[in-house]
Amino acid sequence: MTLGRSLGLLILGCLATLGSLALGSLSSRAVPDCGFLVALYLGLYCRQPSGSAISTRDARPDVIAALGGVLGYLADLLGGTPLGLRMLTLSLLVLLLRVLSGHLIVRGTRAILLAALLSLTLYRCLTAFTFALLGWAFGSPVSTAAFVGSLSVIPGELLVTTLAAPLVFWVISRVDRKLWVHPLSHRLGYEAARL
Amino acid sequence: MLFTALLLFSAAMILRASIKSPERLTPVDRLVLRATSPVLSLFHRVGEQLTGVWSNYLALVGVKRDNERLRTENAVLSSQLTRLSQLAARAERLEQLLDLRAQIHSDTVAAQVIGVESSRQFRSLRIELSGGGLAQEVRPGVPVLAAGGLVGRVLRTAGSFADVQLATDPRSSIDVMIPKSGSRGVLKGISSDNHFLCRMEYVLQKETIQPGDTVVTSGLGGLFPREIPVGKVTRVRKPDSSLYLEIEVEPLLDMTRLREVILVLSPPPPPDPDAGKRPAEAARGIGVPR
Repeated sequence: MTLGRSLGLLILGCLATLGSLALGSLSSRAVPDCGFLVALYLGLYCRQPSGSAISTRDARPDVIAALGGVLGYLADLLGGTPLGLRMLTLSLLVLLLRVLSGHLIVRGTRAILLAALLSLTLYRCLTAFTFALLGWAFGSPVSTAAFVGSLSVIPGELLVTTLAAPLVFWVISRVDRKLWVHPLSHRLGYEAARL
Repeated sequence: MLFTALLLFSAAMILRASIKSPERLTPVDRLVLRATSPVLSLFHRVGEQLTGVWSNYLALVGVKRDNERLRTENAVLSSQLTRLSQLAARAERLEQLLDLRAQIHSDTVAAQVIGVESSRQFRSLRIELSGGGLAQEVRPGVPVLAAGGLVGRVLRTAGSFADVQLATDPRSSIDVMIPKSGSRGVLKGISSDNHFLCRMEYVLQKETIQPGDTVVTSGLGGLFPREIPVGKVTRVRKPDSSLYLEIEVEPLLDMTRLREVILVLSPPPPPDPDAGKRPAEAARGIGVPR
């Protein structure tokens, strides 16, 4: 993964997180977690399954974990959740998605919807369980009511974020196309010019 | 791999520190917050503008329906308000009648005005009595009062209905006085197109009468109670060809707006030197008009 692509997607993720927060302040209803969707895109499309472009598109695990961590950190800092919570869970999630992306090809609206639904469910549950687990381990146990409450808000967020996923993915892919150019297109362009 | 593990461990440590002391922020946290706040604020403002455009110009689907509903509600509430205002005004008038009845110390019957004579030559009202058995005691000549002053006298009765001759009727003749000067005279009605007016007669020119003086009943003749306000002097003229003043009196009551009146059944008591020293006794049998 090139540095430009990493930085570009990172900035996009930050802007998406800020956008979701701003949207949340204007609406009393659930709003899509666009920062998460950028992280999801990162995890799903960080690798090229095969071909000559693999060396430039493939993201190393540490890079992808760092990107997920920064996005999670920003979400924690701006969203008011305990610092490090989403940083940890989003890092874990994008690492998991990176592993899966070598075996899955997510193409088309329905596949994106399904991937977003499952990933977000996993992410939210992971966040809730991590918080409860670490809270218990570090001497600040989370009450059962608070835990159930944190899980009960998931369906609304799931719905809107899942529905927004195809559109957000389309936008990110347009930006990503500018950030990362397939090497073959360079070659073709060079050869076409030579011809 | 090592970097990834280190990153995850760092995240766990940051989370641990945050759980233990949630209020603590590192300089990096503050820096990030400061850097992102203007962007967040910009997003918020843009979002507000877009939301405003949406809610004020585009999302007006239910406005027509809401408008119709509010119009209907407004009509119903206006109707209720009018009705309640009428009830409040009526309650106030009835309260004034009760006060008046307490001042009279006579048996009274309440009545409601149900009609006004349209002819300008004769000034009379049609009233409906509501005093139960006492209504049978109403006879022609019974004084009729309202809150604020004298109305007139009963001209004729028919069952629970009666015609009242107003004090402004040309046929009416009431013995009155002006408390300020002590002048006595006879009040007679005047036929007038647009006004209810009276004339006070038989007041000598030597008497000092001023416009604005109050005219009250004298109680002489035994028909009307004493000192019931009747009207105010509006004009005084001294004709050369007469011994008496020409005094124009305007009734205190607006005869066109009378709704409830009371009829004084028993004759007024004779002048009492101890009046005002004893507590007032309640009269019997006041009816409440419908």
